[in-house]
Amino acid sequence: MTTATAPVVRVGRLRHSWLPAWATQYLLWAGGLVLIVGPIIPVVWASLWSTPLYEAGGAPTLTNYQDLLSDPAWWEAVRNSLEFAVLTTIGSVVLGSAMAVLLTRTDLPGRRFFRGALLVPVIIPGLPLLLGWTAMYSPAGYVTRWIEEHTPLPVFWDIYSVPGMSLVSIGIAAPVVYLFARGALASQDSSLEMAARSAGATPLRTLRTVTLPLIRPALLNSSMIVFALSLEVLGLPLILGTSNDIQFVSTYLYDNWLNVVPSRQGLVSAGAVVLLATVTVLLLVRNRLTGDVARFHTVGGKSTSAATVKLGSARWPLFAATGAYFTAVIVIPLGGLLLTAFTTTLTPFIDPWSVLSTTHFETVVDDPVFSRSITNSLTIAIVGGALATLAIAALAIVAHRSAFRHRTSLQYVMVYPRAMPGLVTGMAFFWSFVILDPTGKLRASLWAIGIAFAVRSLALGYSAFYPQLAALGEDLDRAARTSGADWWTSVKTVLFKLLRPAMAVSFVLMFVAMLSDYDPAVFLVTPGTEVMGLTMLKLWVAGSAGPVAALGVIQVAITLLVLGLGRLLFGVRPGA
Amino acid sequence: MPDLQISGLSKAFDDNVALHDVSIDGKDGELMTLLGPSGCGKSTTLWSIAGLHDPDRGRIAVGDAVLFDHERGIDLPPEARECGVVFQSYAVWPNMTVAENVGYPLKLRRVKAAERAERVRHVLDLVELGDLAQRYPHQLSGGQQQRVALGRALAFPPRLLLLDEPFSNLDAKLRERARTWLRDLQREIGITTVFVTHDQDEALSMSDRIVVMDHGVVRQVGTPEEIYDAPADLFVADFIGTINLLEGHVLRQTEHHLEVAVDGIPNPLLAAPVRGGEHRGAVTLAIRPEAIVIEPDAGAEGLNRVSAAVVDRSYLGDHVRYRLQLGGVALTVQTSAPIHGAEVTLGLPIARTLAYAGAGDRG
Repeated sequence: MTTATAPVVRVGRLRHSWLPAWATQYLLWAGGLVLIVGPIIPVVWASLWSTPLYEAGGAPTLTNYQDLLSDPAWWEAVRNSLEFAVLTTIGSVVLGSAMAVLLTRTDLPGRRFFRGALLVPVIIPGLPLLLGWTAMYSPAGYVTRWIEEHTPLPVFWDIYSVPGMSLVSIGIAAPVVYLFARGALASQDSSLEMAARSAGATPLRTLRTVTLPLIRPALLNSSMIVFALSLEVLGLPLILGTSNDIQFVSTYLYDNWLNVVPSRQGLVSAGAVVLLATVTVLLLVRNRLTGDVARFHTVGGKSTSAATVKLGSARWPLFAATGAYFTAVIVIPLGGLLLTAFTTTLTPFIDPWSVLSTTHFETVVDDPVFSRSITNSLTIAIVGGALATLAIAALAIVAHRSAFRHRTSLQYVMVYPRAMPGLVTGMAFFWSFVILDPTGKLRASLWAIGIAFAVRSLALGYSAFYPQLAALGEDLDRAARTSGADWWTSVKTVLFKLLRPAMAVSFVLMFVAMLSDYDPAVFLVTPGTEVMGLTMLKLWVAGSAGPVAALGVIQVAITLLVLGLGRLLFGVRPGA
Repeated sequence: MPDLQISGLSKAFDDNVALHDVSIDGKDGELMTLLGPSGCGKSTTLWSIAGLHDPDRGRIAVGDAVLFDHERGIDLPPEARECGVVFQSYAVWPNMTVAENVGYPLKLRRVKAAERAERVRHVLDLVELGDLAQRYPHQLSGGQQQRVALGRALAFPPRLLLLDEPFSNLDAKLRERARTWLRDLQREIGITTVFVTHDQDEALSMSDRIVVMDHGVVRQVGTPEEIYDAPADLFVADFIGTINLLEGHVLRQTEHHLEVAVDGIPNPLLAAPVRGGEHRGAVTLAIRPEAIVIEPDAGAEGLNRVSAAVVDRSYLGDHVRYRLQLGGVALTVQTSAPIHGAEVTLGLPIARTLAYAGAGDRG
């Protein structure tokens, strides 16, 4: 066939993968399903069983649900959780969307700096920041006492109340809304606004009648997410609610499992099922609502650089207000965290510089529980993050780059962990391990918590990974197939290689998430498998603020270091 | 080199019929083009040969090797079909050098390293990339990347070469050069080639034979000359090149001709029926703009003579295109001779005035 001079090629038999493509795909699919959705079954089972699953005997029963629904404390907790979630959602949407417009559509001085600063609460682990808030704004906190002592101003907040807690929560949740709104604004063609302006609308009217309606889907979407997250949050009510005995759904479950003797595990399982069902329904509704987004899609190719609304004389007052806000929700809490960690006592009556010390850090290093938490968390974040990244890559490829018949189901399964409250994930794995491994060996190892953390962060890693997979043209794998590669060989030799940067980004995000995760560990922790977040939570509640803050500082430092390296090496952009 | 036989190929996506009973025979060593508007099924046919789409019915064979046979339950995976495919996007792997890209199919076939290097060198020389073996794709131009893709497709060597709109990403000048180059290369190595394009110039200039497709149906198979000069139906006539379509009805049928009353023209025209048999009722006449003679000699025979008014003139460098009004009908005429005055006499050669049954519903 080739020219006379062509060398003859002696072609051998085609290389084959060990397993046929369908077998590999079934194995990955089944593995994903068992790990992600499988653990829900034992929770439901436990909630419908009269005795804990690790005890022999027992019978199906509805008693757990009856106990739960007839417990006034449960309803009190539901009321508090709802009030908290509603307040947080409203506050974050108002604040987040205002920030988005102010920072992307106006000539506010310093808007570039503020845009970066607003992401700090998203990047920094929530618990250390919360400790900073408490150190500064609680009734005995530094700022509160300082105002009472040195100014005639009244202290209008009480972060130990439900509205106060949502005030703290808004500081952390508003950036989430901001990110969604910013995304919507960025994708919006600013010529739409210019058209309104040239039709005679004032800047404010344009904002009200054109800009805001177009970002409504983003606001709706993010408010549903904030609402769902607020319903399940554990650390915040545990730290702030305990002193006034305010119970949320999460703390109600936590207390009835850990602090009530005998532990009411059936009732807690029933509560977890109710919580899971509620959050799932919320997110399904959200999918349905945001499905109708085409109406808000703006036509047109390249968006020109965003038209800037001139603020005029409001420029500097707004700058001052924004600056004050950032000082209040970021600078002061972070300062609180640092001061608590680096001083022996923190009160306005003693000059903090005179009591600087590294005692708390020494405690962290010397205390086996503290130091073990650090090594455990790092191990989980590194090993778990790496394995989870590989799993995400393999599952995403089956879901999007194969002819596997159940591939679509996998796409839903991979984002489902986002709908699972951390507490429920933890309990789900607790009961799974009880059933599958009665010896308790697995549960006593770091693998137990590692697997739970990994599954919980899966959706996050996937959402960072998938766009990059989608951006790789399918012709690239088709070319491998027609060249003679079977499915798995084409995945191994082409897709995996090309996706290495995507996997690196995914790993960095998984690492950071798993380093600071704690809710699933509540039910899984055993002596020896402590992790940073849970140690902070438990010891803070027990009253040892200094070393906990030191641990928080260490956690923040590792997070910033890894994110910085990730950004430098792989262009990781958190929250983007 | 084996023949390609496709028979009874059908494929439906949900309710959309992508291919309807497509049968094509490709001869050994020929370059065959699948031509048609987008959505006509040409790419689906190509993907089906490569094994990247599953047809619902039919059979595909290359020589003795059956690649797909619905009835016998044969469906070789793409990796076992030994087709060299060049994708529209080139799909050159950015993480591998030029040599690695071309060597990949050989590696999968356990070709020894030394032999592989030699073969890669040979193929790269063939596609004129010998000097760029160690480059990475991002260091290459679009045309060079395309040649890498071609080299990769030819490496092992394949039974068939399949090309999916390979020139659509090149700019016009480069495209013309690439056509000639590819045509020469294909002749040189004599590989049976299936080429998909929506560009008729490309199809006409490169193909041994053209398969014109529309809505999943093969409309005509023939050499470029046959397709252009004797389109099988109105769709082909209208799709390839420019053509004047005149609607009318049959007055009389003689041994060789039809006498047709064209709507809007006072005198009947003589035309050559495309299909044999009896013609009556509505017909559509088709005549190429360059077939029309301006101011024919008084003695010339075999012409319908009509007079028309000049409406508009577009100068296109090597020729001029006129829009004329012939009674109630608009007519496009292409000529290199200038028309003087507002009125002109035209000669429509009877042999090139083709009559198709039916009104102009394009087939």
